[in-house]
Amino acid sequence: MRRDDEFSQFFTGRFEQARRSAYALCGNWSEAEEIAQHAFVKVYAKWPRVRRDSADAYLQTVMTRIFLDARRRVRGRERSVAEPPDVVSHDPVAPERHGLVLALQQVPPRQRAALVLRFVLDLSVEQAARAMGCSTGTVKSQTARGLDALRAAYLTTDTAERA
Amino acid sequence: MPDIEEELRAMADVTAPPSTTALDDVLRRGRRRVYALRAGAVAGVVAVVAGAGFTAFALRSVPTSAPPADGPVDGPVVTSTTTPSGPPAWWPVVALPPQTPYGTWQPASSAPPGPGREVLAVPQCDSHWDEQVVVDLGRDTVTPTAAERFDRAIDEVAGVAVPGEPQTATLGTDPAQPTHHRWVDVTDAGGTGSLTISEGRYSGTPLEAADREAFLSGNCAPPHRQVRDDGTVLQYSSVIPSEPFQSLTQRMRVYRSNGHVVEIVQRNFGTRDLRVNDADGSFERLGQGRATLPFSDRQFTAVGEEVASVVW
Repeated sequence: MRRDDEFSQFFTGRFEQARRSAYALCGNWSEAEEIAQHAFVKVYAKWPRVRRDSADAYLQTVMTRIFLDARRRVRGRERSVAEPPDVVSHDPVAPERHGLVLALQQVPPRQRAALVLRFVLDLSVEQAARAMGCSTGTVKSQTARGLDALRAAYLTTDTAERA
Repeated sequence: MPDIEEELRAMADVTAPPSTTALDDVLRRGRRRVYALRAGAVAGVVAVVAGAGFTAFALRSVPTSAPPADGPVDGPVVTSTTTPSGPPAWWPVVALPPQTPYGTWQPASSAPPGPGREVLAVPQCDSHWDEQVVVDLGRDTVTPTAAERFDRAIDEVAGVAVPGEPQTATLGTDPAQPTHHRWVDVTDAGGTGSLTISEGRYSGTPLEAADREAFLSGNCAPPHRQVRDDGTVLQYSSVIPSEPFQSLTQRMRVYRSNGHVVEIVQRNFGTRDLRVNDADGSFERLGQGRATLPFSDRQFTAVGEEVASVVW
C-alpha cells in the first residue's frame, strides 16, 4: 500500500525529532509522546493531500495546535469541583537542561510555542506564524515576551536550585 | 546568566527516554481516523436531509442491525445511528447463560420520558454488583495519560458527532469519599450524551473479575468481551434504562493484569442536563437528554480499546 509505505518512511525519519519538540513544549515525556503520536495520526489521515516538500511544516503545525488546544482546554474549560489532580512526574529530565525545562514551563503556552518554534526548531518567523496560525507580528511579539518571561523564570529557578 | 537563545537551541539534543510509540499503533489509529472522517462526511449529509426526524428514524430503523445474541433479552438497540458502515466490530458474547428477566422496564410515574419519546421495552434482570470485586473506583483522579487517550479516542471515533471539551468532575453524595470522573459531552443531530472514565482497583485475575461482573449492570444478556494478549480483559454489557426519565447507561470495564481497572460509561445525557452541587458533589437531573446513547457499540468499543492500549 503506497500510502502506508510513504507515511511509514516519514514517521521513521521524523518521530524522534517530533517527540523532542513536543517535550520542549510540554516538559513531560509522557505527554510529549502523546502529542507527537496524535500529530502523526492526524497527518496520516490527511496524507494523500500533504505535499511531500511541506510535510515537515504541516507536522509542526499540527503538533503546535494540539499542544495549544490542550493548554486552552485545561486553562479555560476544566471544571474541577474538588481537589486538583495529583501531578506526579516520572520523567527522567535530562540533568543538563533541568533548569531550562522547568523555567520554560512557567512561560505562557503561546509564548512558549513561539520560543520552541523559533529557537528549538530553528524556524523562520514566517514558518512559525504558519504553525501557530497567526501573523508574523504576533510571532515576534510573543517571542520577545517569551524570552523575557523565560529569563525571569530561569533566574528564579537557578537561584532556587543553588539555594 | 547563560545565553538563553543558545540554551533553547541545545534543547533539540536533550537526552530522551526510549520511545513507546510503534509505527503499527500510529497506522492503526490513523486508519480509524480516516474511517471516522469518511463516515462523518456521509452521516453529515444524512443528518441534514433527515432534519428533525432523525431521532425518530433512528429508533425505528436500528434494531435490524443488532447482534442476534442480544436481541431477545436486551430489547431494542439504542446506541447511536452515526455508526460508520462496514463489518460489525462487536466483541464476542461471553459464553454464559442469560439471566431470566423479572419484568420489563417501566419509567417512574413521577419522572416519565418527555412527550413523543417511546418507552423502550427492555427486559429487567437482577444486578449482580459485587462490591468486593472492584474497589476504590474513582478514588483518585484519572491519570493524565489515560485521560489524554480517552479524549483523543472520542475525538477520533466521533464521526459526525461533536465532542465537547473534557471536564473533570467530582461526584458523590459523601464529601469524604468523592468519586473522580473525566467527562466528555458528545453532541450530534440526536442531541447531547456523554462518556465518562474513572479508574480503580480490582481483586483476582482479569478473567475472574470479568466473570464475577458479567451481570453487573442488571443486563439480562451476557456481556461482550475482548481478551488481549497481555491478559487485559475488556467487557461491556447492553444498554440499561433507569430513572429519572429514560436514562440510558452502557458500562464497560477494562481489567488490566496488574490489578488496575478502568470504567468507561456512556450515557444519553450530558452536563447540560445536570446541575452539580459543588458542596457535596451530588447532582440533580434537569433534562431528559437524547433518545439514544451518543456512540454505537463499534465506537464505544473503539474508545475502550484505545484506553486499554495505554501502558500504566
